[in-house]
Amino acid sequence: MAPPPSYTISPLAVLPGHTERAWHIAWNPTRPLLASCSADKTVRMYAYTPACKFTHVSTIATGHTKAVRALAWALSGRTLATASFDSNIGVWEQEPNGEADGEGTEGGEWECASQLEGHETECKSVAYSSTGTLLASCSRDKTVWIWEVHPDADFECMGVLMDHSQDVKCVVWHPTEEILASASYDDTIKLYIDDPSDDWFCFATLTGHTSTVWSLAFSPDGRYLASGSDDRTVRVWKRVSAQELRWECVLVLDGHERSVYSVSWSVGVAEEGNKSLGWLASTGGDGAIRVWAFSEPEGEEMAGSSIAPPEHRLIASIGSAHGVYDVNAVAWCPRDGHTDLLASAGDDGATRVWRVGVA
Amino acid sequence: MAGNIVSPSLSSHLILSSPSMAADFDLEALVDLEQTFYETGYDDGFAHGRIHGLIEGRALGRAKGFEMWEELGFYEGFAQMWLSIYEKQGRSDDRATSHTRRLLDLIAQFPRSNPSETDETDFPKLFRQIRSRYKVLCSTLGVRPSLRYSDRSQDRDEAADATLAGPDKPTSEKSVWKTEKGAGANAPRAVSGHSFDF
Repeated sequence: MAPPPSYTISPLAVLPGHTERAWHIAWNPTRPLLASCSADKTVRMYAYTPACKFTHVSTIATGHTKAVRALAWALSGRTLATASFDSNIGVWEQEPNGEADGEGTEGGEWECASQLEGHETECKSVAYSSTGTLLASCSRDKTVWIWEVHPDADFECMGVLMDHSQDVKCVVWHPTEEILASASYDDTIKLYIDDPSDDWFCFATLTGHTSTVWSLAFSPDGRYLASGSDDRTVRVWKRVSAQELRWECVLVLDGHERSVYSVSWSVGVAEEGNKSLGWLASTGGDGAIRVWAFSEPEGEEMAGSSIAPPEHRLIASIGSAHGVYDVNAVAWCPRDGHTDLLASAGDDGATRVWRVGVA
Repeated sequence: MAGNIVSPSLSSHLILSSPSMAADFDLEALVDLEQTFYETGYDDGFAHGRIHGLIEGRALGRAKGFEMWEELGFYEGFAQMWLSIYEKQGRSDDRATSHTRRLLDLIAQFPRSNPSETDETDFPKLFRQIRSRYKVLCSTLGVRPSLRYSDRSQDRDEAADATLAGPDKPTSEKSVWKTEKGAGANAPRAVSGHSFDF
């Protein structure tokens, strides 16, 4: 068998501009746009060409009165949600400027279509479900709110989940089903589902981390969940039984020298056949970005619900990605043809774009 | 000759007793003297403490029960008021009415008398569900929750600071709950507007 290829992380673009730390980035799922948000209360939009040349196209001076902590694009790529420390969630839509759009990056101004109030303290994260009909938000007030998206930027609150005992740091949706995961300062990860009477409830609590869980990412096929924590490890949890809704920790990845602030899991660029489970990028206070490749464990076809850990390999890493500054977020580009692009946001206020490629 | 082979207790008797002290002198009791006094004192204290503990427990239970129901009563009244408003407006199948009904259902599940030993009601969980449902209801109605569950110690500190700041401050130190001032007409417009016309 040929030795596995070795990869490098090569810098593609450095996009400064924010006057304070950049907290989060999000790739538009349908259009060539990258958005970043910052403690300077703005959202910056960058457009990129197929040749991966990035240019700054607009800045949304959001009406938020405090830092914008997180971003999420809706499925359509036409709506953007922002989570702010002023405890509100902003929903932004672009005014059509009459030109034929679709894949274009040109458009009108970004306007606030709706502001979702309800949280009492700083919002930490926001996420759209895979179907685009649900929006989840979480906050330092220990609650997770689930909203249903209706036409005309109308949002209906479906539930307020108060299961965590501390600040909730991150919410992510399962890539195919309506399962929500949340990570908290109380060292646990909670999974939620709704029962037929439309009541959302927590069906599992994943313990194991010894400190705050900062970030979560589901694998593209939805069978694994990765979590990054203040205890400097990344844990991978596997769904061992879909019917019983049980998830178990199957892997603990060391290597970061400081807290892991963000994890992102994407399909990556598959090397051999269908056994690849994608690439996981992690980053944190040590300024390093590490990329792991996962593939199916041996003999998986026989025991569908075994708890064998996936095969994993560190394929690339880079230190001091933002110089001496902490890296707050990493995100893989979800669009076809660009799944080897990785964006990172750092305390230096810059957004950087990297390509993970064969050396 | 008599007196050569003597039992130990008799010997102690013989050693210590003079002919005048013919009374029995039980030394066994003296061996554990401190222990005896300790035990007597302990039993006394235990009984005393039990009485006081019961009194204190009852007072605590009463206070806690009052607190719980103060909150639940507010939610119940709130829900009933909005339910009747909506019904009067003819909007009985609005999302809000279903939320109010569910909130009232949950509150009705809360026991109004001391639960028995075998009662499995999970109080904290029920309370969490009720609070969540109340927040969802507020959000659906477009009303900012004016009653927010907050940590009591935090309130006590706030009240203490208020009294220090000046006696002319119109803060009510007696209120346990943090209430939002200006939750009326000046409140920021929330998710959905609202009209009160009947």
